[in-house]
Amino acid sequence: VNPNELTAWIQVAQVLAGIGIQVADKIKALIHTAQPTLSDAELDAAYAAILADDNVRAAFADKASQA
Amino acid sequence: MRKWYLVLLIVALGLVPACGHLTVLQRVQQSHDALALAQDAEASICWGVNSIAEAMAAKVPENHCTTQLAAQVKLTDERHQSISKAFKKAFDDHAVLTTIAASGAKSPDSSVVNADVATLVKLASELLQSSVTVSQLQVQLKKAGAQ
Repeated sequence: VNPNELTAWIQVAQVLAGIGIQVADKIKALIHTAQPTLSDAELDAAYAAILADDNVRAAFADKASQA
Repeated sequence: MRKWYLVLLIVALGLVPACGHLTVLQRVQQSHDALALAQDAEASICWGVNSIAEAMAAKVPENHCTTQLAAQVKLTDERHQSISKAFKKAFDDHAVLTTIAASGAKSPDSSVVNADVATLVKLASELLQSSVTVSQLQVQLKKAGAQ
């Protein structure tokens, strides 16, 4: 596993854990899985995790942008 | 704040798109992480927290900065709100990009997200220019460059 890739996965897991999204364990499990050997389910989980964080952050930013 | 600016700068310079050997998932993940780190860094200036997650847990006043650092670098509420609006658009657009990538697209178009990042870099630059600390840094860099 590429160390940079590993760091990024850990960051995603930490972010998700921090906001209480319970997919962090799945992401941590993916740390041990070298891409591109991810299964379809693992890929789906990874994209879902990113999408969930995109949406949480956009919602927070929306509140913060209100005058 | 420099961390935030540097993260945006790295993305703006095209580092992520340049990583052609990365999978689509890795590219989407890296662009997400860069944006997320930038948002966390702005949050650290605004509220003295380490991340948006911490800001949410602390129930900060979302549209109002509370730290002395924010005042020092002229991160006014108006600027913070403008930056947040840009972050909202960036994450919304990134969510679309993520959805397209998740559908199996081999080369999803990231130009909209890149444009969002460029907007954020511009906003960060304005903030940097108003910062005494960063002004001092710029002077030091000029000195370093002259050597």
